[in-house]
Amino acid sequence: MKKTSLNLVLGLSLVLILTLVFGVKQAWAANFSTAWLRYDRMKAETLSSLQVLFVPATAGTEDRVVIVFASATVGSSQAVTVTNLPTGTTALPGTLVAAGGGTSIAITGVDDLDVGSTYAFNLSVGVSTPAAGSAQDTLSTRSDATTVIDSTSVTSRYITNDQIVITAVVPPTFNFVLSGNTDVFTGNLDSGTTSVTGGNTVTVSTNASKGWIAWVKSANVSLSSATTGETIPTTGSVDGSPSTLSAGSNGYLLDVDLTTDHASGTGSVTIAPEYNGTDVDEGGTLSSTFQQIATADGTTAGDVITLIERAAISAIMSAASDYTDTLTVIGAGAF
Amino acid sequence: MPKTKKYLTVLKSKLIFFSVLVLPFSTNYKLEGFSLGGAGGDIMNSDNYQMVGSAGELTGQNLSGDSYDLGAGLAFVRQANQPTIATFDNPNNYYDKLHFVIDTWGNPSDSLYALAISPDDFTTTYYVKSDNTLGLTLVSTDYQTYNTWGGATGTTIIGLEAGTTYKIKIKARQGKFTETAWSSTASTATLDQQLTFDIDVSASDEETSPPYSIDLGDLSPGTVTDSTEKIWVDLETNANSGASVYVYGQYAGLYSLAAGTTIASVNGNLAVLSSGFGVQAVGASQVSGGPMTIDSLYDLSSDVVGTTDTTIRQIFLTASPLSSGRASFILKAKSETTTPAASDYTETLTVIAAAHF
Repeated sequence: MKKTSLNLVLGLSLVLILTLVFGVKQAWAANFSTAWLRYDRMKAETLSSLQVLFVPATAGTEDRVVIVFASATVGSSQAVTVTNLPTGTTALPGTLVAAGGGTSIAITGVDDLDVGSTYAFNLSVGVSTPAAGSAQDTLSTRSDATTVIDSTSVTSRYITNDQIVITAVVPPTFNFVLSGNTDVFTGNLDSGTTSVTGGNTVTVSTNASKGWIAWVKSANVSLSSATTGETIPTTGSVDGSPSTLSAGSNGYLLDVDLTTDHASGTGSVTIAPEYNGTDVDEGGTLSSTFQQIATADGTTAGDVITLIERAAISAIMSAASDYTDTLTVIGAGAF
Repeated sequence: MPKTKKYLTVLKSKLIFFSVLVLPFSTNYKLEGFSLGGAGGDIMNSDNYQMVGSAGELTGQNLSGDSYDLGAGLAFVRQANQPTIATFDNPNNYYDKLHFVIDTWGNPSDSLYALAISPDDFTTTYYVKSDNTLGLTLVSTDYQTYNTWGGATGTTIIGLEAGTTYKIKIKARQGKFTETAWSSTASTATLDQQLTFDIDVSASDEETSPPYSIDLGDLSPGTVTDSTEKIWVDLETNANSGASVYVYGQYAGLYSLAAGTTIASVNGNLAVLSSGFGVQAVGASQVSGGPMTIDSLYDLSSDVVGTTDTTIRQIFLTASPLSSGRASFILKAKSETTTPAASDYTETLTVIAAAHF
């Protein structure tokens, strides 16, 4: 009896010593409560990042997460992130370092995990997916390089194409509206002052990405009277800067003002310097050929410019009530 | 016949049924292992004593053949009835679970049962633990009653390997010295893990082949344009926790290289918003399992859409395995007067799925 007891004690001691020295690998690893690998591209033979989610089922001191890929091609350079994770998940804790090698990726530096919590992380480099079909990868948590705590196989599918190309056309639009087709001077022309018309507006809306342009040409290049046969000629020359009327001297100009540079749209309106008069006597010289009066460099929901004619006469200008000119105002979108 | 002997004869005819369960004992003594030798196993007791008799004591081991299994000796008499596995099956296309039902063979309700299971004809033996998982050791808590093992409904063993044929066997006990041998085995297999996923693009519910494309045509300013075609997905899985379908865009909207602008992907009502692009789920269904449902982000109506920016977002989901899941969604877009004109507005949607095993 004593010999038997002695042998028993020695045997148990030996087992204890071996356990302490070499440790014990868990021979039967439990499955995770839930585990999945989301390939961000399911298209076959395509580089895909991954999102990994799992719920530990077994108590243990985790040190790393290892994914063994059945068919995907693993690069050695990997990166792990914990952003854009699903609601209700916990970012995999720890000072995480991902490294690929052979058929697996190991994420080391993992802190101890709680059973029942849902952990997630991303592998932003990922793997190259295999040919179309399915493959069963294995996800495991480990306490060291070989000792598995939880392990689950996860099947993923790879398909011929996982993308849909959407196309659409935004057709060009251009609207150009004059507020009226007549514009009379607010009073009789007077040699003692410069006179001005009430003005007409031009409203432009367009989806032309490069904006729009407006031009004006004058039929008479003057205010002319059929009755008297006399004209009040335009003043100055088209030279990129406004001209100035003088009371008592014949003259006729077009002044263009920016009324609305619409907030909607990408464009900003610019009045052509020639027609950008800055006071009641200034304006641009009229021409019988189209001259740019304003431009915009992008889309707009309704830019507005105002065209105002200005005139002055000498004291000897023949009286008549039919001094007139016809301005042609056009515009175009720059698509 | 002496009076005492006659009395014993009557008693043994009434109480023989309990012979496998009750030791001969009284308040003053208890007999362990004895034999009357001769005619057969028997039991006798009164208020003052009880005796169990056994026939033969030939070897104390069972005699087995192809069509019979005969036990002999006191040990056999005291054993619980040999239980068997009444059902061992895979009723729901399990990949990591199998279902069993015990046949107690008339054992009392407080009898305890233990089960062993193996993927390799018991070269490796696992035991069904009390939490229905597998373990390499069998401990007393792994012995459970018929009712605890699910009664007539049975129990589902979890944590098995996919695509594997398992054999299972059972034994019973009811008190000390009553444990039976392992039963004969029953076998069945887990399925492989399964995930089927496919994309189709069509105005109607039909299968189509890649490459997939949808032309929204002209987007008239201020008008909500719907895609004529729907994007359909097939989803089928036996994953315990179901699966999800996700969608995301490359440009977070309809992007024009020529115009250098994007009709941005939005969450909201395009009838109200000046412009935008998004997705609206049309429906989700399945033949069985699931159900397959629409994520709230995309479960919308009228001109309300959910965003398809570059973040991968769940659009359909199921929390359980399902067969022949089918779901679809449409695209909606709206431009405004200031949306730069261009004929190259484009977006590439990626639609993916992942099963939750």
